[in-house]
Amino acid sequence: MNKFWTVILAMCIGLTSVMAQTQVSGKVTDGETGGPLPGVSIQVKGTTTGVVSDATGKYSISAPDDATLVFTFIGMATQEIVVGGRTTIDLTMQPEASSLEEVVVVAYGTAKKGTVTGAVSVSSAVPVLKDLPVTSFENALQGTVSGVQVTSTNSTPGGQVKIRIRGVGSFNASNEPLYVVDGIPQNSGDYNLYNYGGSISVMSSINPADIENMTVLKDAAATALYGSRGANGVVLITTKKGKAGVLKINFKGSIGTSAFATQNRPVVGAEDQRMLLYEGAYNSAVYNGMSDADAAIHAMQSVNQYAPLPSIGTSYGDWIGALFQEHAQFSNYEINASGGNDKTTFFVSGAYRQQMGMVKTADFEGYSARASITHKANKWIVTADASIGKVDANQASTETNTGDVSYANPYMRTRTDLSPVVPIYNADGTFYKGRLLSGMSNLVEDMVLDKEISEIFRSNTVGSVSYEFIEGLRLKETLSFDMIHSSGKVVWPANSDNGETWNGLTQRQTYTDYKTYSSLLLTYDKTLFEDHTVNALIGWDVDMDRTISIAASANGFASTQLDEMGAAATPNQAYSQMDDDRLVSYFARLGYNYKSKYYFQGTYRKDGSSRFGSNTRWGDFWSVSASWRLKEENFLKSIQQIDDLKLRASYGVSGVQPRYLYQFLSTYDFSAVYYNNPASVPARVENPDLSWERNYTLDIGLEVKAFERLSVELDWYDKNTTDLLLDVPISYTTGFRTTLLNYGAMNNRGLEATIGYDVLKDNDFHELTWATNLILSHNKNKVVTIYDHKAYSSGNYLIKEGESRYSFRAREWAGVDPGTGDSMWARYKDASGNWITSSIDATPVESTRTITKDPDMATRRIIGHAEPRLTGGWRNKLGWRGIDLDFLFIFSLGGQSFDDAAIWTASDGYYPAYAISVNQLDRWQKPGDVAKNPRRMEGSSSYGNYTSSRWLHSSDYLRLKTLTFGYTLPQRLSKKAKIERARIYVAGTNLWTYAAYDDYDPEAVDVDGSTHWFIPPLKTWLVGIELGF
Amino acid sequence: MKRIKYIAVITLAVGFSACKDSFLDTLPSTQLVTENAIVDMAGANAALNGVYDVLQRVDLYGRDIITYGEVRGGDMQTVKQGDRTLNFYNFNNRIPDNSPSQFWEYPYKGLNRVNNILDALKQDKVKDGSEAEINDLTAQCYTLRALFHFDLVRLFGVPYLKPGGPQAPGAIIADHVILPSELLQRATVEETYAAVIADLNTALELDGFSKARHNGYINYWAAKALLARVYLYKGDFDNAFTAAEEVINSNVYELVSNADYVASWSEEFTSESIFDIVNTETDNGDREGIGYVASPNGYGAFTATDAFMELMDAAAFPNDVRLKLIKDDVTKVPGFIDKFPGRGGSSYAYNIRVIRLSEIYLLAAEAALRKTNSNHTVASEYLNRIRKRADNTVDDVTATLANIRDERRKELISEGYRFYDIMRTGETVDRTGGRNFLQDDEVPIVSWDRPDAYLCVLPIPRAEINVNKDITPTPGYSN
Repeated sequence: MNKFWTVILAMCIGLTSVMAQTQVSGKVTDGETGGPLPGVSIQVKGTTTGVVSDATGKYSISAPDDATLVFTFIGMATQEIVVGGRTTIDLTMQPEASSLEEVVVVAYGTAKKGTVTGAVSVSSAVPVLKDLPVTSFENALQGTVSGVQVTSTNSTPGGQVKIRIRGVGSFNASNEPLYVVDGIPQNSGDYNLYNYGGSISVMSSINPADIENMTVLKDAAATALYGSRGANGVVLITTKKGKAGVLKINFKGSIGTSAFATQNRPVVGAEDQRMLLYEGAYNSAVYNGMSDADAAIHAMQSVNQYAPLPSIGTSYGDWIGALFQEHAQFSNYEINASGGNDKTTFFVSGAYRQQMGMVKTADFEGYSARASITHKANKWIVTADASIGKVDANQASTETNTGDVSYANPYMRTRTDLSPVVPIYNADGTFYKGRLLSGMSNLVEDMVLDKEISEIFRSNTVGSVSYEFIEGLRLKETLSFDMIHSSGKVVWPANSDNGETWNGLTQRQTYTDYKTYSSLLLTYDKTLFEDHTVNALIGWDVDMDRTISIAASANGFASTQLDEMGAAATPNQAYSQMDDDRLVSYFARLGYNYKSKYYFQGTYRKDGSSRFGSNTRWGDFWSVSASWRLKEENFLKSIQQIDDLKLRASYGVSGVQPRYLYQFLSTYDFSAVYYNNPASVPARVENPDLSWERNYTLDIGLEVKAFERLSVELDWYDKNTTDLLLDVPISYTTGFRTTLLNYGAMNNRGLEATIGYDVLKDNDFHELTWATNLILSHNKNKVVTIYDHKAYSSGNYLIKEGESRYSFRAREWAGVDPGTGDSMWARYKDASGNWITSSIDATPVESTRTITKDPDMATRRIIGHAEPRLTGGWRNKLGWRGIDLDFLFIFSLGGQSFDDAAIWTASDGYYPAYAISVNQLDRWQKPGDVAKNPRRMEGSSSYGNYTSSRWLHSSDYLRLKTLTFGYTLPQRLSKKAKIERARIYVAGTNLWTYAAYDDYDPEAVDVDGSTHWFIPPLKTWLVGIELGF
Repeated sequence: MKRIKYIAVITLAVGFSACKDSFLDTLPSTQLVTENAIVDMAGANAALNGVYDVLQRVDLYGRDIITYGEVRGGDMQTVKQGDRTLNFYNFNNRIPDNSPSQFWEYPYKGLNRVNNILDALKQDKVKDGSEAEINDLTAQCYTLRALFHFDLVRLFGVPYLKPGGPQAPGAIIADHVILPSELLQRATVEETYAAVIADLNTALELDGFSKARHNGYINYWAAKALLARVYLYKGDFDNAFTAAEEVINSNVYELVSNADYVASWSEEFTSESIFDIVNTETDNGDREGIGYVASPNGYGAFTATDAFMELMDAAAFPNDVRLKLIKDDVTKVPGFIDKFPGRGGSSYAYNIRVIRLSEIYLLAAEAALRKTNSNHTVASEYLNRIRKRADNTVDDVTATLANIRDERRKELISEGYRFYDIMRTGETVDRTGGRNFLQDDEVPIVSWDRPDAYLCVLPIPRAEINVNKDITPTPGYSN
C-alpha cells in the first residue's frame, strides 16, 4: 500500500468518523486470461455490505470514502483496496499460486492448502502441459512432483508410462497409482491388445489441454480414504470447467517433428562386422589348436558363412534406414469454448492429434471432445460432463506367436539378427529370404505387407446432483458410466511371409470395459463458536467393472485386397471371456481445527472386494493426522520475514488388491485344447485366505513460506508394506511353480523437498519475472521379510532381506587380461573357506577375492541396485512483458541399469550371425592391449554370453526435459484483428541429454533397471499458435 | 423440503442394502472351481485332454524330449551356436541352475492333472459314465502317470542297468495330488520303475480299457507297448519280449508298406501308430514346435551327422526308402530328416509318433536276443521285417545286438531314441567326427563310464532345490 495514502487515511480516521458514502464502480479482470472475472465478491471491510461482479466483471458498490474494499474469489489472491474517494476502481486479480489459501483437490473434495494435514503436491507442469507434444499427460508428472518417478520405456505414439510414487511397495500387485478424474476412480494401463512391443495408455484418450489441475496424494492421511486402491498414491485430475462471463473461444494449433533423443545401441557397419568375425573365428581356431594357416582358412570360411560379400546385384542391407524414419511429424489442433452466467456455466472442447511413429508404418491419431455443464439454483448444484475420445494407431507389424515376440520388433532385430551384412533385396528386386535370415522373416517385407491396427474408443459420462440442507450440510450423488472399447486387427496377407502358410490370415480382437461408478456423499463444514471448525464426510461408493473380450481369426483369403473374415474360407479361432470386478466401500472423514492453528483429521474406509473369498474380502483402512500452523502462534506472528510455517504428521494404513481376479480360487481353466477336443487344466492351487496387502505410512512434513518469495516443503516418510502378495515358490511336484500368499514386508523410506523461489517479481528488475522451482526426491527401498527368510534369485535380481527390491546379482567382472585377452571374473570364499559360485546364501569374504578366468568358478553376488539415490527436476519460469519462457531439467543419480541385451549385441563373437555393437571395437588384439572387451572368440569358445557386472551401467543422467518459449502479442495489436489474445510459441522435449552411459537412452531404463527393446524416447520440436476470441 | 430428505434417506438405505455380500461373489467365465470341474464324463474327458495337452507341449514331446534324445547322441547334431537345441547338444547342465527345468516341471504338471482325475474318480464324483467308460478313462490315467514317471526317471535317474543304477535317486513319486506343504523325497530308480510297472499293470487289468485303435490317445496296446519299453530299459528282457509280442500279435497295427513309407509321415495316423501326440492346424507348437525347429525352412536347428550318413551308406544301399526322408539341411549338406512335414498344407500340423509298431518290432528283436533263453530266429525275423520293409533288395541277416542297434538308429532317427538307447545299453559313442563343433569340455564322447558321465543325467533344477532343500542331488552334482 502506498504510504502516502496510509498517512492520509490515518489522518482522516483521526479527524472524523463520519464520511460521505460514495458509489464506487469498476471492472475486475482475470490476471491469468486477461478476460473479465465474474462472481468476485466485493465487500466493504468490517461491514456486511457486499456485491458480486457480473458476467462482464463489472460491479458497483456504495461505500464510505475511507472504506476498504475486500475483493475475494476462490483461487485468486484476496485484495484489499482503500477507496480513498475514488469512484472507479478497476482491478486485476492474480491466481493465488503461492498462498496457503490455495485450494487443492483432495480425496472426495477440495480443501484450502493451509488446512490440509497430509502430503499433497500439485504438479507444476499443468500450465505448460497445453504447449507440449505429450500424447499422454502422465509424462507431465516427471520432475514436477516430488516423490514421483516416471519412466517412459515405450515411446511408441501414445505409449504407456510407468509411475511410481514413493518407491515400489509390491512384488506382485500393481505398483501403479490410482487415477481419479473429477472424483471418479479410473481404470488405467495399457489397452493395446496386441502387445508385441506396441502399447497404448488409455489415459491418452484424455486431452492434456483439458486438464485444469493435477494433484498427487502421497501419504496415508491423503490416500487412506481411497482405501484398498490408495497405497501406491493417487493422482487426482481436475478437468477444466466453464467460467461465468462472455463467451470465450480459444484455438490452438501446433506442428512439430520428432527424432530419437539419443543414439540407441549403434552397431558396426558391414566391413567392420566382417573384420570382427574374421578375428573371432581366427582366434577361436588357434585356441582350439589349429595352425595359423588353417586358422586363416577357417576364419575366411566363417566370414563367408555368416557375413558373405553381397552377391552380384545385391548390396548390404540398410535395415535401420529401411525400417525407421529419421524424423517423424506430428500435429495438434484444439478448440474450446466456455462461458455462462452466475447460474450456469459450460465448457466444451475438441481436439485432434496426429503423430507419425519412428517405425515407418506406425502412426497414431487421437480425437477427443468434451462438454461440461454446471448449473446452480438455490441450494442445488447439478453437473453433467460427457467426453468421448478415440485413438487410432497403426503399430509396427507383428507376429501373433506370443512365444517369441521379437520377430517383428524392428528395434530389436536391427540390433541383432538383421545386421548390415544381411541383404534386404535379391538381385531381381524381390525380398531376400535366404539363409542369412536363419529362418526369421524379412522384416521389411513383413512391414510392407502385414498390418496391425489398434483402435480405442472411450465414452465417459458423469452426472452429479447435490443439495444443501442447511448451511454447511450437503448431500451429493455422483454417477458415472465409462466405456472403453479397444479393438485390434492383425492382417497377414497371403503374399506375405507370415501369411503364406495360412493363405492369408486375419485376426480381430476386442476388449470392452464397462465401468459404472456411484458415490453418495454427505458433507458438513461449519465453524462453531468462532474458534472451532469442523468438517465431516460420510459416504459410500460402488464400483462395478465388467470386461468382455472377444477374439476371432480366419484364414484362406481369395484376394489379398480383402482382409475381413467374411471373405475368408476357414474360421480358425474364436474366443470370448467376461469378467466382473466389484468394489463396495463405506467411508468417513472427520476434521477439526481450533483457531486455524491446530488441525486434526481422521479417516476410515471399509472396502469389500470381489477379488477375495468370503473369509477375507472386507478390509479396514484408516488414517490419523494433525498439523500445527506455528505462524499463528504469538511468538511467530511478529516475525514478518516468515509468511507461514506449518508442521504436520500423519499415520495410517491403505491397501492393495491382487492384480488379477479369482486368485483365491482353485480352478480349472477350459481354454486349452487337445486334438480338437476341449481340454481343461488346473489353473492354481487353492488359497481361500488370500487377503489385502497393507501399507502403513508415517509422514512428517514441514512447510515454510518466507520473505514473500521462498517456499519450502519437506517430507520424511516411512512406508511399510506388509502381507505382501507374493508368488511363493512351491515344489514343482505340486504341478505349479508358485502360489500367491500374503507373506513378507517391504519398506520404503525417503525424503522429499520442494523448493520454490521467486528470484524476480513485482518489478524487481524492470518487468522481468523469474520463478525457479527445485524438486528433490530420495527413496530407499528395502525388502524386509520374504518367504522362509530365504533369499532367492529372480531373473537378474537377488531378492534378499535387507536389500533393495531391484538388487542385481551376477558375476563380478574383473576386466580383460592384457597378456592374453581373456575375460576375468572375481571369485570369493565364504567364512568357512569354501569358494562360492552360484550359492545364494553364502556371504563373500572381501579379503579372499581372487581372479578366475572360468565364469563357472566366479562368485555370483549383488553387484548393484537399480534404484536411484536422488531424482528430481529443476523448473524455471521467466517472463518479460509478452514473452514467456519455461524450461525443466530432470535428473537421476545413483541408480544402475543392467543391460541384458548385451549378451546379443556385445557377445565377443559368441553369436557370429548377429550385428555387433560399436562398443565391441575397443577389444583386445595383441599382448599388452588394455581393452574393454576381451579377445574375440567365435562361438562357444567365447564367454560373451556369461552375464556379469560388465553389463551393469550407471543410469545417471541430466536431461532438458521440456522447454517452451512463447510470445503474446500486445492486446492493442491483436484487438485490431478482433483477437482477444494471440500467442505464438515454440516448445520441445528431451532436447539435451547427458547420460553417464550413453549406449542407450537413460530414460529407456525401466523402474527395475532393466532395458527393453521398446521404441526409445524421442526428441521433439514444435511451433504453435494460440488464439483467444 | 421434507420430500428431499426422504429421498436422501431412501437412496442411502437402498444403497446400503444393495451391497450385500453376495454382490461381491463373482466367478470366472472360462474356468470352473476345481471341485465342480470333474463331475461328469464330459468334465473328466476335458481334464484328460488336459493331460495330453502337457505331453503335446514343446517342453516335452512337442520338441524337447525328442531333440534331447537326438542331439546328445551321435546321429544328430545341433547345427550352429544359438540354436534351440544347443544346451542339450553341449551338455550345458553342469549346475542345477542350468538344468532344463521343463523336464522336471511339465511331467509333474501332467501328474497333477492325472491325479486330480483319479481323485475325482475315486470319490465317485463322475456319475454319468458306464463302468467301461470310467475304466477306460482310469486306465488311460494310470498309463499316463506311468509315462510321466518313466520320462522323469530316464532324464533324472542313473540308467537302471549301470552298476549302482537301481539304488541311485530317481523320481519323486506323485501318486496323489501333492500339496505345497508336502515336500516329498526322491524314490530310488528301482522304486520308480516299480511304480511305473505297477501303474501300467493296474491299467492293463482294468476291464473296458480300449483294445481298439484310439487315435491320438492311449489304449490297451499303447500301455502294453510302453510296458515293453520300460522292461527293456530295466533289463527285464523276458517280460519286455512277452509284452512286445502281444502288441505285435494283436494285429491291431501293421507295418506301413515300403510304397507308403515316405508318404506316411505326412499322414495324420498310420497303420502302425500305437500312440501319436496330435498337432492340428490350430493347436500346435507353431514356430517352436519340433517341425519348424528341425526344418531347413525354419530354424534348421538339428540335423543328421556324418556318422549317420555313413551308417546309411547310400552308395551301398541306394534303395533304402528311408534315404528319401533325408534332405539338404540349412548348410546345404544332406542331413535334415523330414519326419514332421505337416499335412493338408499346414506345416505345423504333424503328429509326434511316440510309440509305433516298427519300434516294437525292433524292441522285440532285441529282447528276444537278450532274454533268458535267447531266440535268434524270432529276433532275426523281426529285424528283417524292418530291414526289408525299408529296402526289399537286401538279403536276410542273422540278428545281432549290433545290427539291431544300427537298425534302430536308421529306423527311429529323429524320433528321440538314440541318446536314451546309449544310456540304456552302456554304449560309448564318439561325437567328435564330421561337422560337430563341440569343445573338450562339452562331452564329445558320450558314455556312462567316462568321468563326465554324470552330465548324462540331469541335476534337479534349482527352483526345486530352493523349495525342497533336502532333496537328494543327482550323483555328481551338488545342490
